[in-house]
Amino acid sequence: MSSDIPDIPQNGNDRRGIFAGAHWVWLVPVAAVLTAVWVALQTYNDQGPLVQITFDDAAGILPGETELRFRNVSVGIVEDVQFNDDLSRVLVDVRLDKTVAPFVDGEAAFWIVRPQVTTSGVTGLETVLSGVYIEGTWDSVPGGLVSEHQANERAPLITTFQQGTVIELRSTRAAGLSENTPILFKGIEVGRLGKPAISVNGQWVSAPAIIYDPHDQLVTTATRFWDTSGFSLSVGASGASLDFSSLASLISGGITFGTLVSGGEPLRAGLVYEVHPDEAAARNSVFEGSSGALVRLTMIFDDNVSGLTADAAVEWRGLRIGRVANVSGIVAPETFGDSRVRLLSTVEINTSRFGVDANLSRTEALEFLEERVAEGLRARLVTASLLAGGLKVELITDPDAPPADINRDGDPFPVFPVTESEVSDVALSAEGVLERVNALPVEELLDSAIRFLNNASALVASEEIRETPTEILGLLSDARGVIGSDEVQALPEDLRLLMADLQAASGDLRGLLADVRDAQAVDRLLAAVDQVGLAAARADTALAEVPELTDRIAAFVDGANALPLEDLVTQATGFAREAQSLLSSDDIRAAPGAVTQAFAELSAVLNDLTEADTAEQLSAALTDASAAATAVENAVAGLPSVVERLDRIAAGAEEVELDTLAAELEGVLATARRLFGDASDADLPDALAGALTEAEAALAALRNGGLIDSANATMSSAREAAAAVESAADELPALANRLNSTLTQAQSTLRGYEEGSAFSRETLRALNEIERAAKALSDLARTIQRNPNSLILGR
Amino acid sequence: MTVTAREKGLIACRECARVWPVGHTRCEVCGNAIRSRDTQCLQKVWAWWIAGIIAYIPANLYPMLKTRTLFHTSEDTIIAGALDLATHGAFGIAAIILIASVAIPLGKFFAIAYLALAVRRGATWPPGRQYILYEVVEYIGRWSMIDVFVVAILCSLVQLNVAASITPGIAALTFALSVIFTMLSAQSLDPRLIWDRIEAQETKDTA
Repeated sequence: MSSDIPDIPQNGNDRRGIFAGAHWVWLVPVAAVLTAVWVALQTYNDQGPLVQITFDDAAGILPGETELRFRNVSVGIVEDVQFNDDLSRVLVDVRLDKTVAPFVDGEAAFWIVRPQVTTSGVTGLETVLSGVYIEGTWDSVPGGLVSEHQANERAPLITTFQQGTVIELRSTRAAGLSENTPILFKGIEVGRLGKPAISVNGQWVSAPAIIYDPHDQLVTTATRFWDTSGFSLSVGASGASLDFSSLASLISGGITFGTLVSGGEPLRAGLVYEVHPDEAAARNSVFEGSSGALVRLTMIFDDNVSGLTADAAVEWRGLRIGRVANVSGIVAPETFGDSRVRLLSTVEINTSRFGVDANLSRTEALEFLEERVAEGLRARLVTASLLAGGLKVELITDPDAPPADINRDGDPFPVFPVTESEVSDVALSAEGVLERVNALPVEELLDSAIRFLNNASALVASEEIRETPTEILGLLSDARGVIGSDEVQALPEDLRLLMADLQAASGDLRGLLADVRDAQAVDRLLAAVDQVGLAAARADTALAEVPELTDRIAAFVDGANALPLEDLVTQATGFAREAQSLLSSDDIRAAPGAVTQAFAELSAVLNDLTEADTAEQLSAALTDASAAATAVENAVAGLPSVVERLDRIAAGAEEVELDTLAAELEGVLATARRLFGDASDADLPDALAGALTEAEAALAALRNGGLIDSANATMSSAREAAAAVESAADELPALANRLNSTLTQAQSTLRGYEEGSAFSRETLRALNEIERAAKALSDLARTIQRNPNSLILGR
Repeated sequence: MTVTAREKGLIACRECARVWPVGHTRCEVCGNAIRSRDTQCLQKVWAWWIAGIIAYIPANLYPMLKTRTLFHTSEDTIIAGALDLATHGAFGIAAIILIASVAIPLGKFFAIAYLALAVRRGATWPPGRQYILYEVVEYIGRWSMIDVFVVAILCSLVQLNVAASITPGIAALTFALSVIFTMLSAQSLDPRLIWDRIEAQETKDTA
């Protein structure tokens, strides 16, 4: 039956060819395949290269999710996270965008951005929600893809956002150096610190730091950095001040800098700066300077004293020229001969501080030091601070030091010669004081004191002592009565008056004697007497009958003879003796000022007296007077003839106004009589004696007050003056004789008086002269009588 | 004794079931193109089938949904999403997803391939069961788009900007394409070829 089935014509069977029987629907899978292939090719084509970044720790990195960002734009994605062969690293494969791939060269840096909360701010906060991402930074110059990178642990200092110059800061203490510490300049953050690390030898903490562009122009090679972290509290005269730079630097520290001197070179990357603890230290470091050769020397001090520490000053004439770098002990029996521990210190000396050329090489600097050592430069330990007790090294020049030199073969550095240290130890001194106190015989002292007190107690307990206060009371009331009496009360006043009198008398006497010396009064007196003698000789014949005159002359001579000169001499002698005993007494002490002055003046006066021979002159005057008296006596002896001659003179002088002359002569004689009469009244000697007595009493009173050594000479002069007075008094009779001869001559003069009235006038004038001389003598006598002490005191 | 239309020299319209004598190429009732047998139907089946397979591969490799919540963005493929749900205890939903998105499309691929091969080479299954299989494939094929609908609804509903958002992944597109291609593939198969196989069998037996 199937053969009956008509052949149904098939549509489209007439097409021929390879795809003759293919339906158009086949285009669909072909298109799908082509699309898939195209997409695959496109994907492969768009796919960037794969870079492998090595991390120590890949916390938070998820394959397929964690992005690689550049300027916060995703430029890649983590495709795989795996370990390296020994599991010590994490290898992260990152598919990069094709566009940035050429820029990811060897300079590229990668790090993981995590949320961080630090004192200076919060960073990466967005990663709290979105998860961490890898940040990459690279420069704008395509340098060819490098497919393997080592990731940084944290963000590098120089990033896409912060361009600048990276330097290295180092410090001996870590306080100021911590990561992300801002570098401030005038309060503006101009840089930042990287992660600090300890240097290989452990001496430094160093940290990279970036100074942002364009602030890096502020930094030169002369710039100094210092720490401004924390705060400083200073209390001074102007009050208290609290100082800190910023709150951030208070918490996390801060570093600032200043270019303290000019002339630095511009900043370049990689320079190393030291961070000083504070600004003062930074400023000091400018002057300490790194210029000049730094010579390291070893100094071995015999004294093993504590107190010398590293960083102690090395000073020369008070100028800091270096520092102690290291201190240790050394025991070297073969070098020093014993096994004592010696102080081995290494010092660094900057020879430019000596004022020599700062460009010396180290060897030249060492040679310079050797020359100084040859001149006596030595090192020694001295106390830096009496209270703190630290030590420092001082270089001194000791020309007497035993010769020494720098041992260049010293280990580890040339050995510098040292001299004896000058360490004043407060503790030792205090110990010495305490030892002395300890050595005091306190026990014996206390025993003695106890015994003494026992004895005193027994003594006080005795009946006699108990009665003593009553007796002392009586004694005191007696003494009070004596002291309270009017006489005793008046004593000082009397003494004062006496002193005043003595002073005035001395002044008078001195003035008088000066007058006498100046006016040649004695000479004139002698001349006058001579003239009288001449006149008397001339009047010899005219004095025949002058009984009254003779009587008066005789009375005058008697009066002169009756002078109590003996008493005066005795008094003077007694006075001298008293003075002598006074001088010989040992208890002479300082005299009151007025008395001392008075006696000094007295001494001067008496010296004047002795030196000017005034006494001799006075003595001569008295001798003349004595001669005159003798002449008078002779005249009296030859009185009848005189009377006769006077008679004749009187007779001859009837016309020549002899009456007037006689009256004048009588007046003269009366005056002379009065003079000598006054003297014979013994007022003068008595007054002198009284003065001497007073002086004696004064001296006796002053004996307790004391006298100066010059009083000896004064008393000698006084004794001489007294002797002169004595001799003058002895020669007073001779004056009478002289007067006698004068009268004799007057007699003969009067005898010749009848020759003419001119002679009579001469005689009159001579008699007037005599009268004046006698009056002057009377004045002198009166003055002495009034102020007898002036003879002694010169006033 | 059964008689086929072809034996009577007729061609049935597959749309309106009107039979026309041989020679008509177009149904004059409904305007549908008519032919006695579609000799190129297997080509079309295989072509759509291959296209469906090609589209199905990225539909499973690429993420179906991009779910962005406040802190997290996740991209899940179909299977990963279903397994994720299963690990969170939603076994029912996981099963639905797996059946609708994995089992049914894969079953369709296998079923269409089997039918196409059976038409060409003969099969162990009787033609009646083959036809039931064809009906099931054709009926169930459209439900495979449920995944795409779910994605479309989710994406349009969950657009909370900051808090969360869901966007369709590339797999949603390819999955939809894959479903479309398999439906077209199933539709391309001419079921009359199944019966022709019976006639051929009988002819061979009688011969």
